[in-house]
Amino acid sequence: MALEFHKLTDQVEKMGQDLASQKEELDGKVEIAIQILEAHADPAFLPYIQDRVADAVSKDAGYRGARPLDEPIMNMIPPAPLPETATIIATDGSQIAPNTHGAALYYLLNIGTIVVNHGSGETPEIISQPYLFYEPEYIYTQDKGLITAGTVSARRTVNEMAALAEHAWYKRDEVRPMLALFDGSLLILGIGADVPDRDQLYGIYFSAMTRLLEVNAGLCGYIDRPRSSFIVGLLHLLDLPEDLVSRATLATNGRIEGLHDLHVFETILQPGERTPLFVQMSPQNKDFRRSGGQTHEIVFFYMNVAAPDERAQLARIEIPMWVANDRQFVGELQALIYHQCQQLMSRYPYVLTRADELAVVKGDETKQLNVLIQVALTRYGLDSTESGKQINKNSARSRKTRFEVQQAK
Amino acid sequence: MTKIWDEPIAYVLRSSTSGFSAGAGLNQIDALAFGMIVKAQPGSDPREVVYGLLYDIHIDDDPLVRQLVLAEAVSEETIRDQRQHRIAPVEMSVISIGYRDLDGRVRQALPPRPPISLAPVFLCSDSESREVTRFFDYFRLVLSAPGVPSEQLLAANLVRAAQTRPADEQYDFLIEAGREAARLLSGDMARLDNLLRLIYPHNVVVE
Repeated sequence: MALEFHKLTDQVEKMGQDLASQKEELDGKVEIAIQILEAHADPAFLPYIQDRVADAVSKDAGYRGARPLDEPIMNMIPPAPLPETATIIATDGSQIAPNTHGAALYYLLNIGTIVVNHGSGETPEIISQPYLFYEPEYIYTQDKGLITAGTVSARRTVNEMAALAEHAWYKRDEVRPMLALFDGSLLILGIGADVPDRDQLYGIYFSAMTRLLEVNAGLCGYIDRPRSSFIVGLLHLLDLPEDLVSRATLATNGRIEGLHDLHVFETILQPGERTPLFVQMSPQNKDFRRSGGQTHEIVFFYMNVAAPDERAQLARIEIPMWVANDRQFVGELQALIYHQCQQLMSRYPYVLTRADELAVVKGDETKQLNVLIQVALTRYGLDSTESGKQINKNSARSRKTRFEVQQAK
Repeated sequence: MTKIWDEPIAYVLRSSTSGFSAGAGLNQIDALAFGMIVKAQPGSDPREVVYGLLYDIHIDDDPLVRQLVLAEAVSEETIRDQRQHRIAPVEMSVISIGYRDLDGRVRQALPPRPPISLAPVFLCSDSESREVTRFFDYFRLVLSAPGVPSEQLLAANLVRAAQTRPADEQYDFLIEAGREAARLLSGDMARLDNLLRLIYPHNVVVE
């Protein structure tokens, strides 16, 4: 017995009660947020809003909210007509992290890609590419420590972007528009100081983005059920008198603290519609602009991917500035993403679902790979035993036999 | 030209002497039909063959397919991706009706051993089907098999077996099969009536 559920029932009950009371509180805050939005809905307010953001930035007040790019903040925009033909590419990755108790130290990245010739009626192309890393320069840091799971994860993310760029390059002569769909935020945050090849990874990532720019691919990062509060941050800023803007007052979102952007827009956006374009005012985005140029700065919008008459389901879509600069292109990408989301009842893009399925390494496959490695080690006269801890883990987690005690009659 | 019985239609998943289950890709669905006679090898000796009747052809779902079924705007590309790329095997059951022994004789009895996992399953050619259904001893195996739609399966097989024979033999074949069924099912008129109605030679020309 691993989890004793009877000890959890009271805690789960309390969790439900607490979340219900939080929901009531949030509903009140949503009304306030919408009032602020509506108060600044007039297109004439756009320069004022942008000035307020510039003011907060100039005061170095730690503003992390959004800045409207060039569209009035209450303009909800429907998608363009669905393109009859298009090329859609999506990638995703998975990993097996290094296991110090295994027979050998290694890690594996597996990148799945799907290419759909939208509107052709043709069978999509699928690619699954595994990469095995065991050389010391990949496994250890400079001070001989083992790399962290975060490092493997960062390398996986960069490989995903590289694969997306590679396939977009191969398909550069295919029909347009081209949607290059990336799973997650384009602003990669996972490359921390613990990653030994941090700078190199950023270099590969930006090169891949540049290659996508060169083939004019519609790069989109798809974030399902986003928990971000960039627009809530903006609304809080607009709610503050100008002379009160400071690090202290921007440390929270004041009377709308706790609200996420999706709480605000799920009541506003109709199926298929998107919000105006916003720029995220984060140091990461600043780095992107500095390293990749203005074309690589990340812009975002929210869109409702639910079908008509369904409860709103919001996604945050991140696009680089080179895509944002062509609003017809943005509309077509919005239409293609919406169409992809209508393929599945979960309203998640079909191509990302398939890329994930192509990439994922299941537990059984990890076991098979480990056996394969053990066989190879044995063949070359090397020690192929796992640690005692690993052997016991395998035994304890394997299929259990139930022994029943017969009751005495 | 490659004939349909030269290429495997499926591969064995699970087996026993009384029958086996097999799996195939969705692209094989057109080659399969309820009541067909199929064969698979139980061992390495190609002379030894197990014969059976195909029934319970089914396609399982998975959570992704269920979502696609409920969505209303599934594109042609998505359907093709699902059918041609994803592992969604057509599964089928086969009831053993006989085997070919090492002397080359077809025996209408349970085989000495079942086909092994991943053994290829082939359709029988018309001449082999005629040979396998030359006698009716296999009726008892089909009619007494638990969990099998016996009359439906036997009838489907007999109609197919008749079609592998020359036109002037088809009527007599079905009449003889009906007589044998009547002998075996004399104590169960409902089943017999059902079977005879299914194999009644409406379309067979009587000379």
